[in-house]
Amino acid sequence: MTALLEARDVSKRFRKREALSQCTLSIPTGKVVGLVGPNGAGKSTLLNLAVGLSRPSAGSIEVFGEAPSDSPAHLRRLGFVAQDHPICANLTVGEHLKLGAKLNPNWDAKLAHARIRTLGLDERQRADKLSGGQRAQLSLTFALAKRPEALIFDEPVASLDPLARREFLETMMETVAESGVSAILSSHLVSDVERVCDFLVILVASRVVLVGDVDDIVMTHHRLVGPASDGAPQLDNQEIIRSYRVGRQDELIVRSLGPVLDSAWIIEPLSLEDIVLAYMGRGQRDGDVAVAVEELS
Amino acid sequence: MTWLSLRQFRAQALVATGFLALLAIYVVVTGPHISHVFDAYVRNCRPVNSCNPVTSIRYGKLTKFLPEFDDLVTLTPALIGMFFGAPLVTREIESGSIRLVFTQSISRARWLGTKLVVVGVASAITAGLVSLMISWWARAWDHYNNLPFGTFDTRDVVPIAYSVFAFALGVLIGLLVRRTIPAMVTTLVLYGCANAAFGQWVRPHLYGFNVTSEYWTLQWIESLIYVMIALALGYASLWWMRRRYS
Amino acid sequence: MIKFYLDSRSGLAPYLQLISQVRRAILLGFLVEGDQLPTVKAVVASLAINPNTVSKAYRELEYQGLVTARSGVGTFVARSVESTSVPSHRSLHDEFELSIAGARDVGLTDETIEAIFNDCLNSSVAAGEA
Repeated sequence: MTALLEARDVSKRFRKREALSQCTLSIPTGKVVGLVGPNGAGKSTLLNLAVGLSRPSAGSIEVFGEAPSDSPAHLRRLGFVAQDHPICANLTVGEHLKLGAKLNPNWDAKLAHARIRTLGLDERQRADKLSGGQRAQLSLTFALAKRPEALIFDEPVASLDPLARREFLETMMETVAESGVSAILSSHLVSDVERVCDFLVILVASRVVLVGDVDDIVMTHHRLVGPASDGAPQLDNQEIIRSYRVGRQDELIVRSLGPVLDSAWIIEPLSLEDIVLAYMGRGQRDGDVAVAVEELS
Repeated sequence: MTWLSLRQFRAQALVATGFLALLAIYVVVTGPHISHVFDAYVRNCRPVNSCNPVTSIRYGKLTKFLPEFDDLVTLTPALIGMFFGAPLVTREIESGSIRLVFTQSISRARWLGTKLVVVGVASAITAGLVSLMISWWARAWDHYNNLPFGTFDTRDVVPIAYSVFAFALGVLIGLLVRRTIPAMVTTLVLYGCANAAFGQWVRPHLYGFNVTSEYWTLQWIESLIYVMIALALGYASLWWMRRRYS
Repeated sequence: MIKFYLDSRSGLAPYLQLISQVRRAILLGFLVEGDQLPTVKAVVASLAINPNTVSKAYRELEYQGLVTARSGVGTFVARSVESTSVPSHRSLHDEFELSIAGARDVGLTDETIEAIFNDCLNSSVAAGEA
């Protein structure tokens, strides 16, 4: 099965800054993929590479088995919405739909117009007079009516109020349920991702730190609580992601490569949000009571 | 894509049409009067040095004011380069809507190529109309002066070629500079320099062949050169687009 | 028909919440044998969750014998709660309503009422009564 996205050692430099460093990952089709990480981690950069808006400085990236290009046959398989929901300011909503029809052979005009009607948008209204939520919905309609095989969204709900955010995600999920389209959405809001995604990629400081099925990730990560040890705690079969010392106890967030053999530890499950936050905070000073107290509150 | 190019060009098209309409009205209204003044002057004042002072004065006024209208034709290519050429790509880059268009099922080459052709043709038509109107309007003056090379670059075909060149130049600069106002300014400056450089260094070599009776040959040769350069600039734009964006 | 909801603070995975809501509806007689569960698409459109979550819940319910999936048609409830227990549901329901009304009249908060109820429920389990 061709992967949706295959990146091998991909790096992207902008002048002095490296936005992506040696990223290797493979994203299968048929999933709703969350791309999470702090702001500036490289999420937008990766997505822009995926849709051919820029080229990698090193390494290779393939979407549906081909390097991203501007060939119409390749572009028609992807629906992309960039972060600020770009639209053509002078065009009306109706003219946007006409644009979509003229530039896309697969365009489903019936779907597009039906959605616009359902959303209550006036086709004669200029696109730059729409509210943030309406603009997001127009962008989403645009991507959906193209009937792509994969939807790629860069922070699609970041600028929306909670109601608009919810409506956007409902529509997106309905489309996924109906047509089996794959989706990649980046977000710095883990709670949305938790609800909607079944596959996860975590980017921190321009590097990939975790890739996998959400179910697998939740099953293989645990919180371990046990007596404080001198020096840094060590465990067989467990990769320590973060550790905290709280009073006379050590608390570890681990990725389990095997069973926990030391019975001194109490094992607790973790929510996806906890896991993502642990990875995102990795590399900060650990074993520091002051930090631990902050983290826990 | 043709539809989109035209739709996005609509605002500039309306302004240009308005301007052309005003010019047309002015030319049609004042044209006959000018012809009349010249005819009167030629009939009464040239052969004999005793003519009606009124005729003389009218003629005098016209000779000062007609060359000003040549400036309009001189400016037309620069304005086309600045207002049709430079913003062609920069407006979409600045607003971000280019990211919308680039992720539809169309190649970059077709996107830019269509815009180049559609607005390039519009540029040629606009310049052609300006040249046509002024050429007609000033025909009595031209005929009387009988110095076609004095107004070489503001009559007939050459202004069209200049405009197409300025347009192509503006588009390429827009692609490189990526912001509208700097692109407009740069286009103006570079067009001016290019035009002056051509006059200074290329034209003398063209004139070497034959001067007096070859007005139209030179019009076509110079126009052809400018159009070829415009086409080269168009290809350069397409090449740059592919290199940078995919 | 059942209308699902998600409590993001419950600490329970979404698919487990869906399962428990179906179980509860069947137990209380709101869903009976032959009733159709909402389609995956309908649930997803109202809750904004991943379709696989719903599929997983429905599969687990099928495994527990509570529903059957008929491909191309939908997912249907396979079992009703025994019809004999429905009247006792109703009488218990009425009793609770009275007790709660009385407790509120006396000035107890809902939180207190719930705590007392849970305490009774838990202590009766500990004492070995089912």
